[in-house]
Amino acid sequence: MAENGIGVAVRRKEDRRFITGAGRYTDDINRPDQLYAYILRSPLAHARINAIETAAALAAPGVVAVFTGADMAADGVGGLPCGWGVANKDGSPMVEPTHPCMVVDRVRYVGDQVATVLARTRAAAKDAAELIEVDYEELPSVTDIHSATADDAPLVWDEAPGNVCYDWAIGDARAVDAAFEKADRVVSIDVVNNRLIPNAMEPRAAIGEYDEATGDYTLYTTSQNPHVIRLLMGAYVLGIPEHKLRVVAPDVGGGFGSKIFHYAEEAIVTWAAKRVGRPVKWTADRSESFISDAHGRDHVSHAELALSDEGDFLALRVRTRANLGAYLSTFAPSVPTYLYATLLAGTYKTPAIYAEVKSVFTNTVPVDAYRGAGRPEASYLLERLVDKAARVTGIGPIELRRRNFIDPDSFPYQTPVALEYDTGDYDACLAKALEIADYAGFDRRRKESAERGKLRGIGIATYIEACGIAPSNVAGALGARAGLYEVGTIRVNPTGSVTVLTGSHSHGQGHETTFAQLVTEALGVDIDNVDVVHGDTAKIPFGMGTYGSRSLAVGGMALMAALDKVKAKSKKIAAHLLEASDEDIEFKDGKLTVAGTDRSVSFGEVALAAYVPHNYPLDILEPGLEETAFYDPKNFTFPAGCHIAEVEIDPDTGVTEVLNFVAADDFGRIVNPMIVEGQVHGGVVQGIGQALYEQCVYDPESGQLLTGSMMDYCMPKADNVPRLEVATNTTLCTHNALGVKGAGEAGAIGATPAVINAVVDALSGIGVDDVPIPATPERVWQAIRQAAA
Amino acid sequence: MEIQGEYLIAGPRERVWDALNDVDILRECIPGCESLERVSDSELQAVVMAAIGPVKARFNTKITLENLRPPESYTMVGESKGGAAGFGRGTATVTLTESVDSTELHYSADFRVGGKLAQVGSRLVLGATRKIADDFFGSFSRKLDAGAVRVEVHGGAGRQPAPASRTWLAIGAALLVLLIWWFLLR
Amino acid sequence: MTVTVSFVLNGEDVSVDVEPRTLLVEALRDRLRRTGTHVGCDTSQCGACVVHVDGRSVKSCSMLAVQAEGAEVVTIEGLAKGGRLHPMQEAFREHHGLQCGFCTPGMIMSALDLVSQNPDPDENQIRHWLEGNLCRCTGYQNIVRAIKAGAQAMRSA
Repeated sequence: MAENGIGVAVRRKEDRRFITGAGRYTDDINRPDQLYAYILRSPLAHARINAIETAAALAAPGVVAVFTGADMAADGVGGLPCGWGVANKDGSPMVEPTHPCMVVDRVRYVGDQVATVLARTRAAAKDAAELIEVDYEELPSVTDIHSATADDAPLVWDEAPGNVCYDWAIGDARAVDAAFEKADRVVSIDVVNNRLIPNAMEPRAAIGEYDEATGDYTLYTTSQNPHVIRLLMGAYVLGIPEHKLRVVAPDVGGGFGSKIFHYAEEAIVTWAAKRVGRPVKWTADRSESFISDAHGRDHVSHAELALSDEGDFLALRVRTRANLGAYLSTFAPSVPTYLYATLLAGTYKTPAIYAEVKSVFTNTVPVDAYRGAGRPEASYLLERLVDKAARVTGIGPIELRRRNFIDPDSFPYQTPVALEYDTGDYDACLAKALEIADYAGFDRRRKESAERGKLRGIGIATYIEACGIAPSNVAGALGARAGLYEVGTIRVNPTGSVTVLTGSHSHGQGHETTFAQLVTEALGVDIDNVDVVHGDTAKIPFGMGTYGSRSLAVGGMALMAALDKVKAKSKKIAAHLLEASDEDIEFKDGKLTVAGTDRSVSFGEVALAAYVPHNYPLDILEPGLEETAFYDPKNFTFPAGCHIAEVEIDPDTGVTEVLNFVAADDFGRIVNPMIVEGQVHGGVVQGIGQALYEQCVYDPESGQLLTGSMMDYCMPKADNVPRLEVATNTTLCTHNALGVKGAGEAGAIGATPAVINAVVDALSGIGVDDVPIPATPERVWQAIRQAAA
Repeated sequence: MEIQGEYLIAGPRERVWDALNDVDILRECIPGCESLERVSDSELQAVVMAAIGPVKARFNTKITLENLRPPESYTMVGESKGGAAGFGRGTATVTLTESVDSTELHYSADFRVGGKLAQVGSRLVLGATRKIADDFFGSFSRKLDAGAVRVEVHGGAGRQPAPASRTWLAIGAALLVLLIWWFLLR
Repeated sequence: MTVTVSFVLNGEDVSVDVEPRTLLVEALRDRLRRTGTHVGCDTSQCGACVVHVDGRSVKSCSMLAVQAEGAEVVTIEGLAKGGRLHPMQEAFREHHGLQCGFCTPGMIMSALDLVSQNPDPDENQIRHWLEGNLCRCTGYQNIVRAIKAGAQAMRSA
């Protein structure tokens, strides 16, 4: 193992700038002569716009321009494209409405973009926006799934009858029906997966710039995938050829999915910059983030599990309705379908599964991927159902899971819902988690709590996720309108230092360290001599960015492939320098040695020879030492694990405290255990947040967002969460060079069902068998009261 | 949920009615009222500057009076716009009942807020409303009668927790309370 | 209309013309170009903007720039001296107390105020103190660990 190579908890290279205040986030950037944009948003959930009067705003001090949707339409600006098409059961395409950057005559959610004011200061733009008079004619609105699918529901889109975007299904319905007929027992459950608001700490921001002399555009933006933004905005919205559009995503303060998507503001500032001939900067304030960042989750499901008397799962039938919001965000259609229903097998060998998903439009902020994206919804549903089955059958949550786990020796395992798992050992993770959680000692702890008048519960959840999205041909067959490979370049500089260019984007994940560790391991270059460059389309090759826990499993593998090319070429150069055959050259610890001899050259000497090719095999080899590789994964990766939560509930107040939390995960090979642990911590706390605190609430009548600030939308704070115990059990991914799987989302997938299962367990002794999510004190208290009544 | 309130004011009903329709008195009783004008027999227009919590905004408010039955009762339909701070809309019914030598003023209202008002303020609406209503009626009543008292009505208006999923808020407010209330909730 | 505000920023005298309504954080970021202090919310919940004013931690979004007149203001940029990291900064790096880095300046400035009042805080005290600082990446675990270690390093320094 190299000193700072694979498997070492290397302290992060990027930290120094962040801890000294020298990070460079989009809002930290100012361009000469820039204007500030303020976006006037709809205060109504649904309304026709009869007129927009902007003259007073335009005349206000400091104001340079006021634009509306009509101005953009007149310029031929297109709508925001959707990157994933999903077909209905009958094969017909989903309803795909237009998604204007600014509306023209109808607003469809509170937050919809209505007008943009450009002024010399932020405050002047905001002040002037108050002077814009919009004549709204209010229309009835729908915000939740139940009302949107009611018979006489108001329509968000005239072209979407019943507000249905698509009605999709996966699996073998007939096989499932047959299995249910034979079943000894059927257990069913209704679950809601609560709507969440991502709330990355850095609000979104964008700066557009246009150089009239060259025709070049630049967009600085808070994005997880600058190339994707360049492609979507350039090709579909503004019609700017890619070589004339540079997109920079500098330091980004967290994403969790919410910064994957192409947002209207990016196009507005870029377009406006050309219109006024000056850079245009927009920064969301938090209130705006709440009503303009894509939300997450929001499912309502009914599920039934058919079992034999022995507790074998025979079949699973799931009916889910998902809320997509008012427009289709970039990857929205894929989340409740291919990223959700394909995971319904979980870690179990259920032989037959059928799932129907109906996704609907509502007058709410668009909903798209949020940490886990579909997989937390699947895991929550399944693990709640399995726990209920364990209770109803009396088999118990451990035994029932063990009985149905896919055996470690049956991989590759083809699930009934499209995926082929390559490897895993679910019982090993369960066993590890049980041991760390001292499951055996729980009864004693429960009694201790009871003596203090408290209700204690323990909850288990096992999960699996499909990460490393994705084999492009598979994703394409499922409706993805983009390739999902990744690219990496290893640029060896003449003196032997290395610049890594990656299409992945780090917004907290520590790529600058992890990817440098790969280079150190492969080339023996000191980690201080490796720099990772990302987030700038002018610097890096066309990459797909970071989401779906794909950076290491896809982006890292592209780098591994590029490193292989560098090593191969280095051997050829060394062979020439050492007058040996390149097959005889061994590359180890930064030295290239003729096998079985002490004759060697350092990697630095090879690099220098490549750029100063005085003694160099020019007839067979190009000078230089820089290699690029595009890597398209052969399959998804399948991280899995077991999370155990232990909670204590105060029956007098309904307050739930998470006392202990254990995560035992299988992420495949781990490059930097410190970073991986950090990813798990963050994910778990977001998962606890979903279980106990976080909930997006719309007023059902007016369509107003009621949880629109950090005062009203409750995110976990430091004293809401316990110390977390994190462990791993490794099986290596079989289809990539390192055996890595991905770790970014696991916490958010396993934690939520573990916590709710624990809450239900705590209350089961007093006759409660379900609690709504999030299990807030009021709801838990109500459940206790109802059970007592 | 409906919010309502009741006040006992010494003096004849006609006098209370007149005061409720006296823009000068009303203007004095509304904190932050910059202007209040009668546009027509049944319309009022007001501008109120309000600064509570982190936000300060100027609200333009239009009130239409309906079902006028002097001196017994009337209904107000109001709309208040605070630009980026959001908007409020609602109706309120005020009823005056004669007692021995005083007048009982009863109000009940239905209300909704939108935009930032709903986003950041809805959680605080009921508590704030109650306080504002009290403040307004306190000064209004004392103007007419130094010994005016607030009567505890059934249901303890404003004491119930705000329903988390509703913005349509029933508030108890007479015309100007509605106004003030809009200004305060952002 | 603008007013001139003068204060000491990270040991240097500064003077800046601002509109009276300008918040301290806006003056720091937009006018004085100290962008290490971040804005994460508009309701003074998140704590990304915490700085020190006369030795105490303050959310610089909840204070007008003019209120800093004559004060001693320290931001995250003022902690490292002569290229040497402050022990608390060092501890955040050593214990992986940051991921995206956005909440980090506020966390560090807030932690220093805690340590100045309680040189040896235990885990519960740290967690309680961080009520006003939100982090979405770390689950707080390593922040708590870092602050404990940073406090210890400061005691033995």
